[in-house]
Amino acid sequence: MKYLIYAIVVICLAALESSVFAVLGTGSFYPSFLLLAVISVALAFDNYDYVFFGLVGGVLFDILYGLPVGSFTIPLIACGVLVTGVIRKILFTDINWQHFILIVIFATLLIHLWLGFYVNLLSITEWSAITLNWMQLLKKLPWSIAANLIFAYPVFVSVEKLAEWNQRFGRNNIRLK
Amino acid sequence: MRFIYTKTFLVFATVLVVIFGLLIMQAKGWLQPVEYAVLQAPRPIAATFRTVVSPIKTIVTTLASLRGLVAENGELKARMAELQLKQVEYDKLAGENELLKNELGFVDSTELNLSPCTVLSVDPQDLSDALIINCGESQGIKVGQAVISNGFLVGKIIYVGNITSTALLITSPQSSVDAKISRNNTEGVLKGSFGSGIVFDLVSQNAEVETTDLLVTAGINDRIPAGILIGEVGQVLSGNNDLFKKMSIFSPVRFKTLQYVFIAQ
Repeated sequence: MKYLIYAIVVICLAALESSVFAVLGTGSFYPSFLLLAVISVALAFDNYDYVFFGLVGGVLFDILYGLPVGSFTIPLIACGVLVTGVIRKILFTDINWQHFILIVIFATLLIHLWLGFYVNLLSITEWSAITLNWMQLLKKLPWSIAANLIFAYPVFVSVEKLAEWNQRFGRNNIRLK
Repeated sequence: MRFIYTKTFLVFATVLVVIFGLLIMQAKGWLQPVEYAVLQAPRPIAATFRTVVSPIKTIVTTLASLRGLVAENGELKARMAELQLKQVEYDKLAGENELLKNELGFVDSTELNLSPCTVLSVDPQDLSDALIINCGESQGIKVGQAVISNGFLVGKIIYVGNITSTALLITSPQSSVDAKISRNNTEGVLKGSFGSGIVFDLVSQNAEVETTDLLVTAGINDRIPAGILIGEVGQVLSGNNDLFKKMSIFSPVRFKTLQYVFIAQ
């Protein structure tokens, strides 16, 4: 049931990104709700649920953008792993809002750089017909960072609510003998 | 404990293997049915969002541009009168043309064989400028063919699968299409530029090009027929000292909200 809800959330995020902002014509000011969701899930949940968001959402976004598989999936999961495996466990045990902002900036930067490197590498090796323009990617970067920073907190709050709801309605593991 | 011995690393490594497997399947074209199904999933929700957001945007933009609209209305009325005069002349020429054709024994034929296709997805962020359509090899689609919407060129096919194809929008910086001014056949290259812009580049400095001239495909590339409308010439972007003239092109197509297109075969 939990994964069905996650799948619906991912599909809604894809629909939101591909419709609302396209209709509004916000230009380069384009938040990546999926990236924010992966970071927030990695921060709010103490499990591997971010892998589901990263894998299912990433593959969906790769296909939706007409890019080779892995263009979004790999950096999304890498961001989740960095947040849970490195930042939460090794660097900072208590994450505050400054860390959150830095994580969002770093993750957005990572996605853009990875997109340029990975897609163009696959294009050079003739695995993919699509190539990305580095100049275009870099020009969009500040706008993407700004959009992600603005939407980061609302997304995080929504994911926290989802985590609370999940805890409240989740299966009770205590068994009576 | 070192990071590579943790469960997190194991999960990451497993996911990488899965992604690599999917990538191979995608390159071989085995993922096409899955891609087709996946692309259908967000469409109903996206359509609902679009239905809700479109009127809100229209109200806001209308209110914001009310003053400009009055001036634009006046300009358009003047231009309509001019076009009506041209239409009369065109009708006269069309009649003469028909008469001459009949006398010479020409047979009427539709120049373009168009295949209708549904747009499954358009890159919303201008990252790849890709357009995915539900037509593929089975419909006779080939790489390099022109994609048209409402009579205007919107892109060209860059990848053909069994049931879906990917087109590159003309707004992409990677895109280039040979084009000419319909009035005097001045040739140049149509290129995409960052921010959904289109420019007509590599035009001779001596060429006479005026604002509002219509730009059409030149037909040098045999997969893109000549005479497909691209847009209207906007402002000149190059200086007098530049080797070539370069100008912006205005296309009325809203590339990000395309729903149906035609492929010229």
